[in-house]
Amino acid sequence: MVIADFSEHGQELSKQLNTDGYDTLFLKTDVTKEEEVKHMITETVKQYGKLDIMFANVGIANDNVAHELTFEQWKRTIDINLSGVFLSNKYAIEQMLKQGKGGVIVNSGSIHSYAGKKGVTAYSSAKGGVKLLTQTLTVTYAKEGIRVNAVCPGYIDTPLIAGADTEMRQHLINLHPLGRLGKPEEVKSCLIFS
Amino acid sequence: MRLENKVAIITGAGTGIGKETALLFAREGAKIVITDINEDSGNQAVKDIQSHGGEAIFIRLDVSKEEDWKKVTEKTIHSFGKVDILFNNAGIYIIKPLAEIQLEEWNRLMSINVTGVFLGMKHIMPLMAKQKKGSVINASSIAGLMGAPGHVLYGASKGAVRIMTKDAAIEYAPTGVRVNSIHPGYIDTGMAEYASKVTGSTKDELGKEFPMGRLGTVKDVANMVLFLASDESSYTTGAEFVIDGGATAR
Ligand SMILES: NC(=O)c1ccc[n+]([C@@H]2O[C@H](COP(=O)([O-])OP(=O)(O)OC[C@H]3O[C@@H](n4cnc5c(N)ncnc54)[C@H](O)[C@@H]3O)[C@@H](O)[C@H]2O)c1
Repeated sequence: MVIADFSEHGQELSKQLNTDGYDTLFLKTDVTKEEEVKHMITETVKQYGKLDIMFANVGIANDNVAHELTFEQWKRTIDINLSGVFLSNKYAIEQMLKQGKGGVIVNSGSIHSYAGKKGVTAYSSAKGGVKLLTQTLTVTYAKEGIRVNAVCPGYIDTPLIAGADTEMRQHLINLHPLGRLGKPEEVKSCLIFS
Repeated sequence: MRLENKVAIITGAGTGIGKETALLFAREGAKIVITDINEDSGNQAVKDIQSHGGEAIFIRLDVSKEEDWKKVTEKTIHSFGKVDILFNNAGIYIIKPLAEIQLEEWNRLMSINVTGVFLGMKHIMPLMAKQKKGSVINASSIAGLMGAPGHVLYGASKGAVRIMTKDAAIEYAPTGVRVNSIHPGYIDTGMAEYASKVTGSTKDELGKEFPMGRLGTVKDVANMVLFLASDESSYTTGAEFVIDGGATAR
């Protein structure tokens, strides 16, 4: 397994997994840089000989309402959350087509691939794009055996929402009829299924 | 095992998707209540599970009859003491042009595909709510998501299942009981056989119309139902899951 991250956290995770007896490789990758994404795929193939599964999970949160959202913030959110998914899908597909045996791609959508909410201006634009990108790739590569799906979680208790204060947290909980936030492992189980 | 010590009721479990799901659930450690209107196939499904070392009983159920549901509820509790999973799978399929649909067949299909799912949820979900946990999976179809010629009747029934699922999910979310719907494309069972006869296309030709270029298998569906039945999907309710070779991505 290749763990790609922009930050060094990925390095620690990879080390931890390797001491636990798993075989992982950390590749520092900025998904908005085409060369780095290409490198991520070629290094994966160099190390493990092939690529079967790609989880395009990277994403950042942005909660600014439109009139307070700078163009820079908009571009950065779209760049990471949408263009980053495109690039990693593009080069993964290229490799999977070469292998000729299909493959599985899981993209990170969100509840905001479907529904709007105050402030999720750039975030929902990107995540809505991920949903339709996923559907388009599904139809395009189904015959080649490449399955492309998106997981669209509600609010999951991760560092992404660590910025929320108690009131905001309660507000987020209230958005979910089950009356609590999701746990990361509840997304994980869905991914393993995919 | 992914369903260890869980008790599952499956309707229409004598053949097709229901039977395959029952066999898979049993392998994953669940105790199975096989229900079907057809006693022979239902009893056979029980035997098949038992011959693989699983635990199952058969209760005859016409999903459209409330009396039958009361019986199923009582006997399940009597035999196993609880219900963790309900798979409302029983259904029938009629393809017919709008103007040719007889009111009697409309009512009959609705009584099985819609009323059957309603009655199942009505009788089982309150028991699950008392246990503060449970998972219900309702069989809709891609016909509940998109239109097709000859599908006014069947599509209406599956569309009803889709939205009933969401309504029940919201109502029961505070109790910890989850309800989701599955939406298969053409799956290689008696139903695809029937569709092939009615449309005059071979099953292969039907499969070619899907982006992945093949029909689905009962195993493709059973694995999805297993995920939704298990605790792995514990934050998922009121949602739609397609098993359709990419058909609804178009
Ligand atoms: N096969 C497909 O292509 C397909 C596609 C989409 C959705 N579905 C849905 O999946 C479900 C299962 O389909 P399948 O392909 O396994 O069908 P199937 O015909 O193979 O099996 C249906 C089972 O339901 C039972 N049944 C019929 N009427 C009943 C009643 N009133 N009470 C109790 N049991 C009854 C039958 O005896 C049979 O065992 C159905 O709800 C169907 O609409 C199937």
